[in-house]
Amino acid sequence: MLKPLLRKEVKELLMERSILIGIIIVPLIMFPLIGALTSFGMRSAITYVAGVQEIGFIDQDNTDLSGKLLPNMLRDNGLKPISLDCHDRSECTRIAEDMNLKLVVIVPSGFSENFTSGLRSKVETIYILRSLSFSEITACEKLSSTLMESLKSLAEKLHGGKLNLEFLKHPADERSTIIYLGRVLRAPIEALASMLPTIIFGLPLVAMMTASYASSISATSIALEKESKTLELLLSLPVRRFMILLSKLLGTLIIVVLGTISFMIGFAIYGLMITSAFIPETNVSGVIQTSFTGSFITPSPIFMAVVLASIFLGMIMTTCLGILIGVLCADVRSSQQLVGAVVMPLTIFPFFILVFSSMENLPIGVKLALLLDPYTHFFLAIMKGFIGDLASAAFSLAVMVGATVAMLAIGSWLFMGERLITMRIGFKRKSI
Amino acid sequence: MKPVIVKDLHKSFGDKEVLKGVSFEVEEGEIFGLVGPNGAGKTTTLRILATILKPSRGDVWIMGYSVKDNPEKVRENISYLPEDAGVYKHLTGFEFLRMISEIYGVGRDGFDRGVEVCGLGEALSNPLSSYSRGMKRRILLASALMIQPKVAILDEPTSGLDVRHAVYIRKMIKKHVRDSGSSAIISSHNMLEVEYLCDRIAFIDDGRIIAEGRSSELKQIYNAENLEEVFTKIIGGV
Repeated sequence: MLKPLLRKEVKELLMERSILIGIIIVPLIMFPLIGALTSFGMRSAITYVAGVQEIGFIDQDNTDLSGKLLPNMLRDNGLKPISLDCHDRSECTRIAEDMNLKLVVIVPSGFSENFTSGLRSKVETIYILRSLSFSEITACEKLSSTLMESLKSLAEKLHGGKLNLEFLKHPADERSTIIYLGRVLRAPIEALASMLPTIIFGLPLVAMMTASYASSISATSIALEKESKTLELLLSLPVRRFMILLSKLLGTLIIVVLGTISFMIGFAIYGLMITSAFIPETNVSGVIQTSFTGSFITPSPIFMAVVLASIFLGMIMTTCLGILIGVLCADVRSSQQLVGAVVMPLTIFPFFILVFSSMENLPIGVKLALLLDPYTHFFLAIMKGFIGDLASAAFSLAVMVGATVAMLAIGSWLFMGERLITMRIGFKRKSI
Repeated sequence: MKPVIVKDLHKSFGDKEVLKGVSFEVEEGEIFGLVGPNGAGKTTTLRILATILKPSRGDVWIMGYSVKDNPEKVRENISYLPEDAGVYKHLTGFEFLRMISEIYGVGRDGFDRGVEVCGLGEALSNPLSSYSRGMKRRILLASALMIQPKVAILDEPTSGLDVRHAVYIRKMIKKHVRDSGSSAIISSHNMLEVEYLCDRIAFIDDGRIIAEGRSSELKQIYNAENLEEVFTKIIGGV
């Protein structure tokens, strides 16, 4: 009984050009594009003017240059170096974390010898991130640029115009380590700043667009039955209403699975582009770039699994929401408008709030309202999955499952009676 | 057992009462016509018979099954052709008929019957979106008759069709009822069609049946030459 209805659903949906473009072709183009842009962004990281900040300072060279002149120059540029007494990197990092420092500068032995000879020296930096917010990364980015400015000023002070311009321009290479939640990324902070919006916000946004399309498809599949006047015929067939609802859901989900596969392919290409973005390479913009593999930025299999689970659940959830909307609307245009009116606020608000703030900083009312929105959990699952907080990601996924079941129950209830025929929400233009 | 018994049917949408106690019966092998002006309650009555709407009061029994209590059993015994029904534009004629035959479980015979009833030949390989209005109506009628329902409910079966398609459809309806011995309920505005097709006719206005009988009886009672005149005398002109 289900088979012929399902076959009809799939064929009707697959033959719709708008569905094909939105659910399959768009993700296949968008994700590789995001990957390419992220890769480009990381290679062309920009240095900004530094601000005033306390930083950790470890002098392993023990010379006047490293112990007095460089710290003074850092002070002149608005930084306040605090000497750290530590024996290894992990201890230094722990002390810096305790002191709430964002940056630790390590001057290795041999720095002064090279610097006074006009040879490019090396400094090591450790950036300690407490969040992956824009402000945190921008602050670190400014610290990095101030450090480089200080080194340039020091080179000019020591050598004036006697040495080659190349040295004065890049007196030292920065070997950076970024630490976030105990995980390590060896890459310039500027690169992280340029790629983070894409990973944290671009990815969920495109994923959301793909998932939202599911609501549009399912709403269309019901509204189209009303508009093309096939609904009455369908409802008079000797099949249970639940079977009709099931065929609608499964038909849409088959399309959605195709969308997920398309998403996976696009996402895999994106992952490959991210992973291959940092091939060991020196002297690019005065910094040393190191391999990305194994860092917290590389899409891990678990993160990929969380993203895919979120996408798939998000699609099922929005499919059910679309069914509800389709039942309420008189025609396709009304259903599309109602999808926009319902799905957009449900997705856009949590998206922007989570981009520019964090749940912790919100007033309790807003926080509760956000947590009641299942799409907040869609974003949270991806974000928590990204930082490896699997318990929170699993909780968000569970909320999405609950919301899906609730919507399915309401959809079934609407399908059982004559509401499918009698309920009508129209979006008509006012005549002038 | 009478195939269709409609008893004191009421239907309201909000405050508006659309049906105000409609009652009629349809005999086996009979084509019953429901005639009335726009908004009289014809389509609502047929939708209740087809289990798409639920009666507010009263009930309908089709082949002994109540539309209130056993809508699924009712649906197994009927076919319904809604007024102005659309088609699934991406399915071909063959695919549509196959879907219907599989849902009703009438197999290859039913499918072949559908192909024969619609008489569309090679056009059945084409998507339904390419069909003219008349062709769409023919394939929908075929889908309603191929399953050999005990009761065919046909709402304005020839509405908006040219003479060629309208004549074809009327012939097919009459042939189906004659061959199968089943019953049909038809609503129509076309008095010639009603006179040609229907064994008995009920005039409905403002949610009530106001006259019922054979065409000849009605003409005699109202001293009219044809059904249009009967209609005008019962319901009034514009």
